[in-house]
Amino acid sequence: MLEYLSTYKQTILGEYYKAIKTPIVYLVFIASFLVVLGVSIVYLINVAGMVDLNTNPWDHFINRTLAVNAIFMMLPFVVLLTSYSTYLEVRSNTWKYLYTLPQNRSVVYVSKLMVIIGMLMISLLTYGALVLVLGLFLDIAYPIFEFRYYVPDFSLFLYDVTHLFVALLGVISFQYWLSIRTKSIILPIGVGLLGFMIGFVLFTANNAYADYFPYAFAMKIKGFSMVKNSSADFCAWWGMSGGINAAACIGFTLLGVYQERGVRG
Amino acid sequence: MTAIPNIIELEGVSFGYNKQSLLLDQLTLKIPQHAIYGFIGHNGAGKTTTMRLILGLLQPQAGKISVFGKEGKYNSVSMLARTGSLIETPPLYEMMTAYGNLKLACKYLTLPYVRIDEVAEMVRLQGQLHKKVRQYSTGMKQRLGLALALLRDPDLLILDEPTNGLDPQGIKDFRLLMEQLRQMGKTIFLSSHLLSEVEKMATHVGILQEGKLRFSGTIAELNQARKRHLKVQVKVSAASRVNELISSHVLDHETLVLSVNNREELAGHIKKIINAGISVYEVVPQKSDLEEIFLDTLIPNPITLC
Repeated sequence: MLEYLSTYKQTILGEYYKAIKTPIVYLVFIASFLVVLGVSIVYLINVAGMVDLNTNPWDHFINRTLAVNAIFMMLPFVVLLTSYSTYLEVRSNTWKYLYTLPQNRSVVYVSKLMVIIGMLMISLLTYGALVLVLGLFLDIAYPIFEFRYYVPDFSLFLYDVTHLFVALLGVISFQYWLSIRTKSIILPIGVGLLGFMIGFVLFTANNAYADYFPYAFAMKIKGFSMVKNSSADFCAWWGMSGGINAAACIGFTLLGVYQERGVRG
Repeated sequence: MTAIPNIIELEGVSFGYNKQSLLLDQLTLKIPQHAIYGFIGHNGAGKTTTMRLILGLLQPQAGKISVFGKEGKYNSVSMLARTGSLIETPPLYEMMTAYGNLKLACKYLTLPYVRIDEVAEMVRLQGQLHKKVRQYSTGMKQRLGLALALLRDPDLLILDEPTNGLDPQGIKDFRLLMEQLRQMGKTIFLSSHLLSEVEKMATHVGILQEGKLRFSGTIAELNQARKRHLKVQVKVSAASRVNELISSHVLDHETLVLSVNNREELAGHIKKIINAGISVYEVVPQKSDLEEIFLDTLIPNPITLC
């Protein structure tokens, strides 16, 4: 058992080392940076429209960045992250090296998936840190925003980011499984973008199917209001969408492990 | 005398990407311990496929594959722990340095980083490790791929076209390295298109054609085969007249090449020429290399090698 865990540990460390030495790491930071930077630029060019006196400016700033992140950025980001992580091996001709390592192929499969999930986590943590840094920067540029006089609601912020993270796990597992099966970049990105567009249409049309479609789950996160009001939306999300998400995540991971184990016993 | 055990054994192995055409057809192959086994065949003969099957990258449709005395399917993890391989182009992350690539492999294999310097010295890449791989020449990438294969200090090395892209000095270094590794007790299974190179370094040779093994044996056995397929260059007073008597290859008006199966046949031909009143000035045996044997002798309809 210890030997088994040690094999996982060394493979995860190897995959992590590879991720930080390749363009994957840029993808992780750029995704978060673009969101917060984009919202900050809107604040800078429309100061009067963004100032909301006597309310916590952090609430609005966090909600706006979270909405942009959840609706526009995170899905394309995870589609690119999963597709590029596997395509990197195809382009470098390294699959056969990974598959001739003295370990079960399912170890490679799971370790890679863990590192992709870890990269998503790092991206969201970076996003959180950048929100705070750029909020303070906006305050230095325009003290009228009054960021310095208020404290962000860290627990709600953490809850929202966690929510977003969980909402993406189903899509990650499916996209990763698809990338590994096809060993291609075009097909998984095509499927991912199609899912994103359908999800976006369902979400904007407020269609009931958005609750059952994993590509729309992240978009349904509505920021602080969803948690603060303990609204029906929130409960429904964790009940229905959360269940489908968990099933997709566990299902596609187990399917991938089963298929990889089938190749080498 | 005890028999040398076989490190790799293939018995009746068949494989094809579709049912209509088999790439390997009932292939039986035995690679003895401590051998340098040169695997020769033209493009599409099935060399790389054989190597991929041995490594478990492909599954055979029929037959058995044993490595280190155990069937691969059930022993692959322990087999791979003792095997280093380089199949087709080297598996390298071009945006990383050579050191980064080797360090990554050390992480996967839980090896100390000192091993990086050891293998870099073996493949003569010291001082070049901190360059990005994309700045490497084809030959340097090939050396780095070899270093990756050697990193785990394997008992068995499976190398597919390892001299691709190497310059003459690189090929010479590679040959020396293979011999050193053999003396260290390693078994090496390599394929190559440079048939003359295989002859210089291999202890055993296998010739694959259209998925079937046409010849397998030691270099001495190959030389025996070569003697059985002797070629002699003969200088005579009238080469064209000899060609009317005996089937031969005329080079110019007084030089021709005779192909014979044994010395007795040669003596008979010479006697026939003299009896026809043609003077024989010189008889010189031609040394045929593996390529000639491969092209002229073992294959009824010679093909062009790349």
